[in-house]
Amino acid sequence: MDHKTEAGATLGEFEQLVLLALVRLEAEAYGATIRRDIEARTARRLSISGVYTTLERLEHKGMVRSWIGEPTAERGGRRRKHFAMTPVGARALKSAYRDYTEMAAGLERRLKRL
Amino acid sequence: MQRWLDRLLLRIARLTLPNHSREWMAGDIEEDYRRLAETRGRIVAMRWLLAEIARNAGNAVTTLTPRLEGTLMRNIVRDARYAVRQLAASPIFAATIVLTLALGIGANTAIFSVVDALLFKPLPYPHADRLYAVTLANASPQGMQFWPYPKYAALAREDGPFEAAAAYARRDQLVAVNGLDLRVESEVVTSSYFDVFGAPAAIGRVFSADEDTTPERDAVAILGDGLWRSAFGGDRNVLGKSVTIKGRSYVVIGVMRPDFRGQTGRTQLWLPVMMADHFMYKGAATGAFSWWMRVVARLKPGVTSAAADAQMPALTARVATAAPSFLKTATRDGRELFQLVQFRDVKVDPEVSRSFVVVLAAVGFVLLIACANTANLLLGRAVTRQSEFALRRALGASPAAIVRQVLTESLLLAAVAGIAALAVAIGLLHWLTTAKPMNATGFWSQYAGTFDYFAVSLDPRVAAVNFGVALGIGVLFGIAPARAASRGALHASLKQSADSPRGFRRFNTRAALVLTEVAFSMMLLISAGLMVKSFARAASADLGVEPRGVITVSTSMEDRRSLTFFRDLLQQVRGIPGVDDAALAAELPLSGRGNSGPIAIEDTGGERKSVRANMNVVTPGFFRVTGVALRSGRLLTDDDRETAPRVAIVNRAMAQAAWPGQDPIGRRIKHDFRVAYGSADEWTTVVGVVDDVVYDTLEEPVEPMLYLPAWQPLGTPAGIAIAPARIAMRTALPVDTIVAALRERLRAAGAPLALFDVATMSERAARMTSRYRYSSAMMGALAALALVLSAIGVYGVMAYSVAMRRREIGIRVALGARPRDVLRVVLGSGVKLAAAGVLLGLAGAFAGSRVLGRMLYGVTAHDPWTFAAIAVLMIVVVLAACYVPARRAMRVDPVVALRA
Repeated sequence: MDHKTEAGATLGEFEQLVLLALVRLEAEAYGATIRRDIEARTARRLSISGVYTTLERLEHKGMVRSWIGEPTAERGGRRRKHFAMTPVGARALKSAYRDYTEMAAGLERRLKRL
Repeated sequence: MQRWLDRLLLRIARLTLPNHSREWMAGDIEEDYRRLAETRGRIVAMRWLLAEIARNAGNAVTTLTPRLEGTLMRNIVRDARYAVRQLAASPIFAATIVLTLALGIGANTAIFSVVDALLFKPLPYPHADRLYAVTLANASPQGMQFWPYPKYAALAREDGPFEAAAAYARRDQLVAVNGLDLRVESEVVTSSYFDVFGAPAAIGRVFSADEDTTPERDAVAILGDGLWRSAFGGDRNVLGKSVTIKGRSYVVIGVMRPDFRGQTGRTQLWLPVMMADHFMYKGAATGAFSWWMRVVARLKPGVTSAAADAQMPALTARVATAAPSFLKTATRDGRELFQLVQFRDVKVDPEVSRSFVVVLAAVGFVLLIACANTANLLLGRAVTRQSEFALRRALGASPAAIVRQVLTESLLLAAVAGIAALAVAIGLLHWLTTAKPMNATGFWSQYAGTFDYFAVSLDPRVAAVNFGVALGIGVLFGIAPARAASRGALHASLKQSADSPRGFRRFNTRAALVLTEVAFSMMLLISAGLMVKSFARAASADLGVEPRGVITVSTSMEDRRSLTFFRDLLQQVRGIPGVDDAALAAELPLSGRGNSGPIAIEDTGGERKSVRANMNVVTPGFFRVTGVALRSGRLLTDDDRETAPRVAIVNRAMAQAAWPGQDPIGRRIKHDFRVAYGSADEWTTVVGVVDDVVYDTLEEPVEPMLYLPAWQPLGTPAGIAIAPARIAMRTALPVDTIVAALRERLRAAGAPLALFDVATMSERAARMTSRYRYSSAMMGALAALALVLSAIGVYGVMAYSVAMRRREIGIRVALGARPRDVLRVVLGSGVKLAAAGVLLGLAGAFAGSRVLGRMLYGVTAHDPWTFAAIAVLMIVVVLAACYVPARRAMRVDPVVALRA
């Protein structure tokens, strides 16, 4: 239960999805790509403000850091806000993933039947 | 679809985002939008964007919630959030309500603002209620509006019921400022003008009473704000500088405030009346022959218009003694009588006010239809959501909570509609005041040609009422469905089979609403039909000329010109490459009539008589160029010159008025200017009769017209110019090319005349009918909207009724009814609805269409063809709206229907 004490909070389910997207996207992680990645993999429909609400909460918890990028034409000349996972976030995600796989271990076939 | 729509939607999307991260979030949205638009097309992208807007708006409400204190507030926010989601789930339903209410309320607000300004708001002058135009009573209700100056001066000296009086006249003045020639919209005024209209100078002073006394002595001028800025760069030291008119310097003594633009709404220069003897011609101000000024007077406080009217005969007689009228042409029976006309009534054509009242009624109808439609849609929706409400009741929601929920939804719709209506109103008002569609083209209304001084604007109070109406509609038409929803209760509803007796009763309410919609739509459609037919009649009216391929230009003649000058002018015009033929005339067809006077008819045994006729002076080619057909006799030739016997051509109206049933060829006449100036010994012989030509207005019968040859000079007094200063050219080249070539040639020939009023004859013809075009377009649009709304209403009710009767239909089918029978039953109830609505509408239109009056041309208000055609159209549309639900009924599977 160390992830709990260290981060001060458990990760919500959507927070986990966002952190996983950060891992996959690496340097290319910003609002639009994060949303696209989650929408493509989960068939969920997300609002951009919803994605940012979660990212800001994660940043507040110290699990994510952000910086402002350069403006580009395809965005109507607006700047990007990039996001990356901090070590705190990495630990929290790892522990959440461990908990999840531990819990699901050996249940794969039964889960599929559900 | 256009790019602006994308930009608009993206901008709306931005509004739904929180301030602190708006930039990157908006960037993300735009990036995704572009990707989608490129890969899946704009339609898909736009649909996605709309959904994104709804999602973000929902989130914005959620994040606001914790900040709002109190359960009530939280409930409202929750209701609002739920309402947003509900409405986002049925966007077509929401859009229909918002759009129709917005159009209905917006159009009402805009048109009401115009009617308010035209009919109710006082004119922006001091004591405007006591301002009257003084005219000479004649056949027209407004009277003869023009006065000679000396007559006005005599009136101003009288101690009548007036506290103040002023005379003014509009003039297109050629002015040179710093060596630059300008045509300036000007007014020639008495010094009292500025007091009567409450217009002090912003810089300097206005004319003094002393400047009203001596002709040609005080060359002074007052600038309008616009001219001051454009010609003098807004120089505050402008006083003492001058403008040049006809070679003489006029000293600038004042500048007016920007909001005062004279009686035309465009005036930029004011000149004193005494100088008219210089800038117009000798005797313009001092002579008794020039009828050119309008007179306005303010009654003394406490004098009623009836009391003033009673003093008019005596006042007229006293003024007539001091300043007798030499030309009694304008008055009835040659007897003069001053007549007082409310100043507002000469400023705006009563026909224009009237047509706006009709349009106001029409948009009122559209609003009623939109309300009926909204009520209908809301009721229908409440009924179809019975099971949802039942479920919420079962889960513990109180009836009050459900009422609140439904009310919140309709209020939300109404609020959005109210905001949209404001945008509609502002846009429509802007269009109305800049396009000025309803300006009459009538002769006397040149001063009524603008809404300017009516200061038409969106009154904040009207806007507030507009918004209140929207919310009122929301509550009013929200309560019934809300109550229905809360009573929906726990029973049968949950079972999804809503075909209870209650359903049928509600169907009756809704049927009544639809009936109203159909009836009102019929009335609008019939009005629109009559107007469209009027426009078609007006557009195909016989103008007496062949306008195609004719370009017309006016030249400005500041001085009298010799016959040689006009011969040279015509020569120059004919010489332009591409001009096939050209002629000069004092007046052009379709451009307004000119001078008129009594024509003495030679005694042929019967009693001596005189006929009033308009006079035109034309070069021989005029009839050929404009395509006026000769009926008998001959046209003018170049041999009809100074030394030849005097000849004239008359139109058929003149022939009819002067020699009814006889051959006018060879008859002799004397026209007024010769009688008045003593050169009356010579007779003029009528040598030809031509077709009637429309000069002034389509609505009145063509007046008698006398065409005199340009090469035989008139015995007119110096300056009263009936000069052939207008040019008509037959050519295939575009207007700009011709005018540029003409200007170039005139400059090369050393006669740089100012050219203005350039238009093709076809454009002039279109102006004659513009009134009908605009009113038919406006009514047509309103009627089309009403038709669509009614169709939606009919469809809604029929679809609902079919859904309610699924079981019944299923039983019928199970008992052997064929699809055709089902179709007949369903269509039958639609036809009943349609027939009742159509009959009601026909009766309403029959009773009401009389108010259209003079908005119609060439059709009666009860034109049977229009009534019949519209009735058929309405029935077809109603049947079409019934057909879709009827098809659905035909396909009812009895097994499915009965098991449900």
